Amino acid sequence: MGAMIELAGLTKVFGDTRAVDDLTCSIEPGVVTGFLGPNGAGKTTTMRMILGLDHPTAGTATIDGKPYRELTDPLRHVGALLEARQTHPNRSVRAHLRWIAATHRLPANRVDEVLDMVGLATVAAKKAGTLSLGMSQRLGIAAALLGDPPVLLFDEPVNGLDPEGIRWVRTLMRTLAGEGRTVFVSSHLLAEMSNTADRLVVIGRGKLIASTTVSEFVGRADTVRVRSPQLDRLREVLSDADIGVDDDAEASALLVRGVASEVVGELAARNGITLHELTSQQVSLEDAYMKLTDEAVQYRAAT
Amino acid sequence: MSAVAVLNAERVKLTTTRSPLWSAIAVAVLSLGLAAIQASTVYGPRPLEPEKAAMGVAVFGVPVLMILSALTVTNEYRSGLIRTTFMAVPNRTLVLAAKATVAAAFSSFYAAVMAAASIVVAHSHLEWRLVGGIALYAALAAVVGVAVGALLRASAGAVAVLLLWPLVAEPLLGNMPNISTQVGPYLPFGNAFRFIDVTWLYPYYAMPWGPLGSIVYFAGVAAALFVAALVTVNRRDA
Repeated sequence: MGAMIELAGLTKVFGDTRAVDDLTCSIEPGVVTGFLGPNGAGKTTTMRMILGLDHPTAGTATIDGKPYRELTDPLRHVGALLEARQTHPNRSVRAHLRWIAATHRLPANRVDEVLDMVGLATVAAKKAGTLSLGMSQRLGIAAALLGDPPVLLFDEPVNGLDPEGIRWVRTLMRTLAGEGRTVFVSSHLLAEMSNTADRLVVIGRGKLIASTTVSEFVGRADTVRVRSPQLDRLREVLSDADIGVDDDAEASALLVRGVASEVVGELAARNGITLHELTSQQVSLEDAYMKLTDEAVQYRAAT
Repeated sequence: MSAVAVLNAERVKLTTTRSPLWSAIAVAVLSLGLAAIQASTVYGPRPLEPEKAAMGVAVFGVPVLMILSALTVTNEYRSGLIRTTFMAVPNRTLVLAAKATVAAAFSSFYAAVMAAASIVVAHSHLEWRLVGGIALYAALAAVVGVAVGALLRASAGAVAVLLLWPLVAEPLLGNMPNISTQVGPYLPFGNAFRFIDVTWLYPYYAMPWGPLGSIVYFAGVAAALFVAALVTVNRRDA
């Protein structure tokens, strides 16, 4: 049922800032893909380009092989929630969905169906401007679901929601992915993503940092702490093998980045280096994320 | 994606907020009020001329409808709703065309009703050519409103332009001693008033064309603005 979202060399330049920089990745059906990055990393701009709202400076974003603007009846292919309050404040909740349905000749009962689905049936006659943020968010999600699309994009859907709302959104996304749909969710709330997402696309300053599964992403940022009397020799061996090394707070230890402890141990044995300690340090998604985005930022600053 | 569906969606949009109602009330007060006041000053056996009775609709009513038309675009930009619109209908030319059509239909119908009502209120005689002319003028003015709204995106700017242009800028230019004879015949709203034969603040110029030429000229200005709006909106990020 789902369809692939594919980004190829997607780039957006505003003045002299590269908001999105040569982004290439694909978002698969059947899983929830988290779209992570610090504020200002280019997540919203990327989503707007996927939705045909912003013109890419270079590259393409396609859904099922087609740019959004070439889809016939786009809402039957893609549903999106960008901002919660994208409504006319004086138009009723039902009327807001009714005009959207009218563009695609969707039957009137579909409006009531999605209102039921998001739990807004009782406030259907209320003006959209009187809704709380959480309810506006639900209305935005109702609009996204209207065309029963195989692809769904949500930009920061849990922003400003109470715990109950957050849980509802999380369950909804998992259900949608479970039905075989493509679900692409941006967030800077990492804890949320580790509960919800199966895969991650991580960007920093517009550049792709990682496109991988959640567990692999966390593993990638794991470090191995090594203590050795032959520290200089070990450092040499590791850098020859293109493995990143950081100094530990303790003078006789090193922190090895991005490889499993087995790799470090075997390298040391092969080169006859004595190790006094070899510990794998598990990090949370949060740490992994900070580490990787930090690197992207530093890398940019250095050049 | 059919044009009829998009047109229908824009109709639903226009009819599900209060702004058409408020605009309609404002236009009614301005039009009928002015007609009644003018009729009350008439002495003698001859009634008020229909052009004078309908002056309130043409001079003040149509600009209000123009603002309503512009707001159908600028309100969407202010709330971010325009993105929902462009996500549902990525063909932006179709969106603006549908908005212009719905605004023009509403404006021309309501302006015609108000023109006829003004004439009745003033005890003048109904002149269908005048009523039809005002309807056509209102339709074209609505297109100008949508175009200005799409070009400026901000309600305040659009309202300022749409009020100052016909009510201040053109009468000023048209009455400037040195240039009025050269500029006057080419003022867009001046031409529209000439077509419906409503005299208001404009001196009488020797226009290079007849009344029909005048409305064609005004239509040309509306079309040029609309094309400029289409090009801009299609090129711009939403």
